[in-house]
Amino acid sequence: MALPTLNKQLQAAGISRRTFLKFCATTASLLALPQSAVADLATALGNARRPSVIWLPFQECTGCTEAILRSHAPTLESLIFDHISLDYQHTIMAAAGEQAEDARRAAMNAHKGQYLLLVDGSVPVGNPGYSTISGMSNVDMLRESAKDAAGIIAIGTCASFGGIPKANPNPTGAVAVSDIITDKPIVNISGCPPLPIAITAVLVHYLTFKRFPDLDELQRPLAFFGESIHDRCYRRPFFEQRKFAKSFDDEGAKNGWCLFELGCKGPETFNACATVKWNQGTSFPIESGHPCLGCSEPDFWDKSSFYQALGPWEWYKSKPGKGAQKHAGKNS
Amino acid sequence: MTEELIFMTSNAEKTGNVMPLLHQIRHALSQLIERQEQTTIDLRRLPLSASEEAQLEAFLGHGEVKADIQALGDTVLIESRYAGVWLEIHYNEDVEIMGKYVHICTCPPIIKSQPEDMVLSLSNIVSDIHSLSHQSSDETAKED
Repeated sequence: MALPTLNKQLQAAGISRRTFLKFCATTASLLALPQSAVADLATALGNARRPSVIWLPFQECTGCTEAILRSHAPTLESLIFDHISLDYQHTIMAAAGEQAEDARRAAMNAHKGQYLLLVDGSVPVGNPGYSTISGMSNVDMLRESAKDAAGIIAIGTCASFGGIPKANPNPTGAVAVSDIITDKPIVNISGCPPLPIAITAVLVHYLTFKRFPDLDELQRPLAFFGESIHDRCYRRPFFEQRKFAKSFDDEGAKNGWCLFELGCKGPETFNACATVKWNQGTSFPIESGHPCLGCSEPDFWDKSSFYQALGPWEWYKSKPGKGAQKHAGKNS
Repeated sequence: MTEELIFMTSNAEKTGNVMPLLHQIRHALSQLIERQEQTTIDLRRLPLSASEEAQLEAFLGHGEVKADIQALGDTVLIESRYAGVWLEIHYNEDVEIMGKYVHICTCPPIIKSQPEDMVLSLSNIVSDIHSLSHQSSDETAKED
């Protein structure tokens, strides 16, 4: 069953070509593609078939789903997300139980080898009974659904690295998707929650180029995870000047100085929060006066206190391979 | 709170990228004149502090053309006081900036009518003329 092209889908929804070009221009920018590629991107993406997507929420708090679904009303950045064929997502679909599972299996059969699998939440393997859907353990459902998938997008830190369920002492034996599935292309879009626009951009890249974008060593898209929060933080100049807030209400904090000594994990956290921002572009945690918690990194929950500095300034400055330098020359 | 945030941002030190960027624009403009080569600079990919972005926009200023496009949020196109140098800002419906570019070209591509939209327009105009002509015929018949 061939799904319609995106062009047809958008035209039926009354979306003009100009709007689509605007979407392509902004997405190319997010994916660090040259603007000269926008016309080709529009042609390839417009002719792409509407993708079938199966979304499996496992051991999660629904924060990732909330972030994506509540992030924006149907607007530019959600253009693609609004037009995928979301054939299964048990948290939000009307069907439940066996009916929902029948829908999942029907989509898998109809789009064998072509559908994308989205997963949020970690997978408990210590005792599979900790999390089941319609009587099926998460690990069995993941294996069954991944078998004929074209690729997998792990949404959020739990699906990417185990996240909070994996935090010490990891009572459920939580693991990441990539710990179980090893024979499929997997993209990790980590974050607690992840940036919704990163998911859209990865979908666009996949539909346009028929492959996932370049990834870092943790299988995250370089366009979003290639630079640290610290690399693009507007407070970075204060770090270089050694101007630090020492407490949350001192003069340094009031002057907007660097939060490094208050435990900011921005120097070792890779994500695009500082440029893409949150809540309709309002700000990101550091801009609101709170240190970055490092939520898009593995084991962030177990890494020392959120309010303990990474180390002395001198130590950090002399440390090799930090920030943007870490990825220099990799995955090009 | 808003005032405080503005204060904090404006206090940040400069990255020093404005002057190289202006030279890049100057070079691109000469390429446009000599070779008809168009250039687009994606400002979102460049580290610029808020004050530097404002400095760049103030330098470019406003020329003769300003266009507003409504396409799932506004797009604003401004020809700077340097003919051939355009500032393009894409907003979404929450008025969040989704893209910001400097185009060095005779006319930014997004302002042109798109062939796909024109095909649909032709079909719409045919249908609208048809409806109008029916309406006129009905009115004439009533008058008779």
